[in-house]
Amino acid sequence: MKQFKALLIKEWRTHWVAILTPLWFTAGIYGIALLGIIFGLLKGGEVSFVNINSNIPAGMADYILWTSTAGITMILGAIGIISTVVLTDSMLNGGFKRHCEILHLSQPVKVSKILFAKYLLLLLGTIILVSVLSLVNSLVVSAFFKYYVGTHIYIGLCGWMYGAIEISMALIFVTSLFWFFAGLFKHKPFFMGTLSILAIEIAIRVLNSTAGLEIPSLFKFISSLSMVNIRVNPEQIVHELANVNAMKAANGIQILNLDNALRLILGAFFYFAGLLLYKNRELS
Amino acid sequence: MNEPCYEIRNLSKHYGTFKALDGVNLSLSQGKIIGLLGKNGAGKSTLMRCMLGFLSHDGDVLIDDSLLRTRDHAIFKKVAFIPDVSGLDDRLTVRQTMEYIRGVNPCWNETTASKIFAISNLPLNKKVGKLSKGMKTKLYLLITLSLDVNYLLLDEPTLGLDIAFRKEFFNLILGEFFDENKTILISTHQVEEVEDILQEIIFIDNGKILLHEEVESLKTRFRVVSLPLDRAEELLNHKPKVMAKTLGFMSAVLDSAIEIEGANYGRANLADIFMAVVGGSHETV
Repeated sequence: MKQFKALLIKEWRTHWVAILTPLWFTAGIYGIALLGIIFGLLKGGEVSFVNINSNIPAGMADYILWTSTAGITMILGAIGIISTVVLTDSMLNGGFKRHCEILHLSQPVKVSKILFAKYLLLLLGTIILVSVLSLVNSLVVSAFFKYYVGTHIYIGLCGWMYGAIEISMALIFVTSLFWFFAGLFKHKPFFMGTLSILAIEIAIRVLNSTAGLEIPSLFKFISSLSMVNIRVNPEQIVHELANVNAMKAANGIQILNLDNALRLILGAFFYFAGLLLYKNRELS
Repeated sequence: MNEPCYEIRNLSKHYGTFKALDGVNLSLSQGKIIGLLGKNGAGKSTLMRCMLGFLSHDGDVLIDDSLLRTRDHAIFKKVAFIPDVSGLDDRLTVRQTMEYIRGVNPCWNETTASKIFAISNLPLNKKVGKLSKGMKTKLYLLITLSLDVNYLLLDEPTLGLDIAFRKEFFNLILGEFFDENKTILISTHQVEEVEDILQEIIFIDNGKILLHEEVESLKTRFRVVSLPLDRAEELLNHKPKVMAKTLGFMSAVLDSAIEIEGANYGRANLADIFMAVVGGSHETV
């Protein structure tokens, strides 16, 4: 446990700036908003945080709040995904690039423990950070809706929960995929990984068109697992959102879909594949 | 002779078609300071990295009778290594680096660490990336010396450092690390600086071990023979690999058994013997 704690602390100390990218992004947005208000006040205007029309029908307001909080969460999640993709390279190949790999790997610590500390901080750290930040944002948005339209805050929280779960699943898949590429390629893993996917996609298309095969598109498959869709029917939300239990049930159904199962299975596969590749690297 | 603790049997390493190590056999005993001498590209670093399991290889490497085939974290409970490049993490401070090693390495000895860091004058809150090359090497050395391990492998640890620091470096190793239970293998180009502390020497060239012998015994086997320039032919008859011309004399390192009438004889140092055994880049004959 002492070793694992030391590994986590080391990873945090060497990567905290990149890990906190969603926080910098959020702080930037709040900063810009604050500056806007200050300039507005300086110009003699009135303080107006939001412009919500209080005449919106209740069902539609619920829908707007739900999609807003889910959307906010997903945007932050997308920032989180970008930062984890960059971090996979930095965490797995940073030692090699900075010539300090030997220091880290000449300690009596299992490589699997070293990599698990990296992966845990990278993935769980980002998921927690994105979830907490988007929760704060969702609460702020929900509070405004509650104040102006009377929408129940719980609906905003349901949107946040839906977005957080979906983006967490996407994060697991994308992070693990690029973790694998970072294990495979010491140099430019993002570029090389993307190039590999592209090459396989071209091969599939050539085979499909020349041999009359019907191999499904790899690119579409990866895209479908990497991106988050709001699959819920707006009509259904408008009519059912008021019923908290129905929303909770809807969220439950969303977690247990085939895409999420695939994300988890492939995420685990890519994690272990990246670990195996890293373990078998030569140190020179 | 002590029992061998590091045993290398028929070790070979290929980089593509290039043979970096070619059937290396070595036995390193406990309680010895051993020098590893070779030209650039002779295979010194490759040998050390194979001894640590960092590189895949053919043949056997045994530490205390345990076979090391691939990377095995467990050997670092016994072995510490300082590479030829400053291999510290630039993003951490000196203090954070110490805390990290203390946390991950159960061989860390707090008493030793406190003692040697207290006299080191290292700026604890400074980022490693901001330290001078000498300071970085010192930090690496102090961290390594704070570990209770039996084997210390040093791959050109003082490369690029000034003479004062090099002296301090080797004094620290002798004063704080070495005892009769520990073994140190040093690869260095500045052989004249470690000559006095070495007990055994290994010459390596083109991936092959040319010689592994006790330093004192080696020095009695060779000597410097000098003759006036007009008698240089007599030296050449013994096919020395390297000859040197100084102040009207021609010198060569030859086997001590060779007697030449009227020649001057001198004690050869390790660098002379190395040149005599391995040869320079421009060999005579």
